[in-house]
Amino acid sequence: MAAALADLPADEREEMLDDLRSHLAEVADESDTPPTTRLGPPEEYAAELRVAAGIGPAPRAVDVRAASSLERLRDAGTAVRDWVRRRPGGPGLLAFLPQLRPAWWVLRGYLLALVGAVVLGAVDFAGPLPADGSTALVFLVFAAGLAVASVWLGTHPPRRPAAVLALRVGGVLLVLLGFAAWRAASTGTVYAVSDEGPLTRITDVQAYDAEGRPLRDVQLFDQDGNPVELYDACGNPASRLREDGTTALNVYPRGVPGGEDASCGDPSRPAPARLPALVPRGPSAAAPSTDPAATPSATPAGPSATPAGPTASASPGSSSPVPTPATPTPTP
Amino acid sequence: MDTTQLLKGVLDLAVLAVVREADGYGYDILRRLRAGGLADVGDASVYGTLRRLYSAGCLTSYVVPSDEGPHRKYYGITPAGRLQLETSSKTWATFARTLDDLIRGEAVA
Repeated sequence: MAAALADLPADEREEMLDDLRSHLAEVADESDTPPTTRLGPPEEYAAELRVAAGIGPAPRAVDVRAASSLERLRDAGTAVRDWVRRRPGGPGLLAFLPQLRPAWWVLRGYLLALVGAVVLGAVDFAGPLPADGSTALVFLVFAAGLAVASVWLGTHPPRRPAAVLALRVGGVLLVLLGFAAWRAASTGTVYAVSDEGPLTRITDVQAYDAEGRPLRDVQLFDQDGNPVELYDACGNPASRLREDGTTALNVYPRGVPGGEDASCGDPSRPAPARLPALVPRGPSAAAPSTDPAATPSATPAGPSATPAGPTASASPGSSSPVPTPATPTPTP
Repeated sequence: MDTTQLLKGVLDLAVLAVVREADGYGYDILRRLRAGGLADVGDASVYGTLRRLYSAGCLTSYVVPSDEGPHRKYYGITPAGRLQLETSSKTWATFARTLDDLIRGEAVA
């Protein structure tokens, strides 16, 4: 019985238990029948007592725990508010913040869509929206729908302490998770390629010199001097050992075509064996009208890339990744 | 039809009536209700009703010390309780009459 009344304030509970004790004493004096027969099971007695007393049914244990956690949070919140109020501009800030609530509800919906897109759909983001246009449209629709639902939830808050606590904690987690997901989806080793199809992952690079000859053992670095590390379908980088014992993870193309590296994702379109030569750069020369490197024609030579060009010179070592030209450029 | 449903609606009235007649402690009030003919009234309901009426100000309570047995908490009626009893009994009388007319009307037709 005490457990069934545990949510009541101590003095009220004690009173009711006292009444019960007296009553049990009287009932015991009445006859020899055990109290449970006479009064019914304690849970039912407690329920009936609560209803008649106008208290209402006992809350679930999870709600009691949630209510006490919420109390602690509220006390902490009050302490923070008092601290802010004492600072200059504090009262103004405290008056302004509640007006941001609807904005938080909208943000909540957007963050949920963001986390869903990144975790479930592995969508890559450029800024606040997915990088790909059609995906961005679908994402916007979802985000808008979730934002509306979130606003509705904000205007119809739950009453049970467990639900309220879950919503608060979930909100904080969502902000952290959303930020992490956005960061993860924004930086990556994916380089956007075409604008006509879905985002393609680059797993290998085939470079050609000015004469159109395919190059082997090219070591690539980006504009910041970082090695360009690409991973194939199995997650392997293109790694090669250097003579000084260090490992280079940016040597392309990978392995020998048809060799053991070919099992992790065969290329959909083989690189051509030879390209037309580039028009030499001159002091007055504009960009060549057609860039043969961008549109490799499919030569009937097949998937093999004959190592006709000179191999790249060894890079100076892992400490200073300076981009070196793979082949000597023809002097104009 | 069983009387439990009917009782739930009018237990306040019954308890106030019993207490107005004479102050009593929980078990005593329960006994008087049962003796008066309300055999189906549950113990928990009576105790709960007493608490509620007390919280609402219709009843007052005091503890009577006893030498040989436990102290007993007695309930007495307050002026507010008397007023509540008056209005409730009027409502009850009207309601009972209305229902009677309805039943007799049904029987005739």
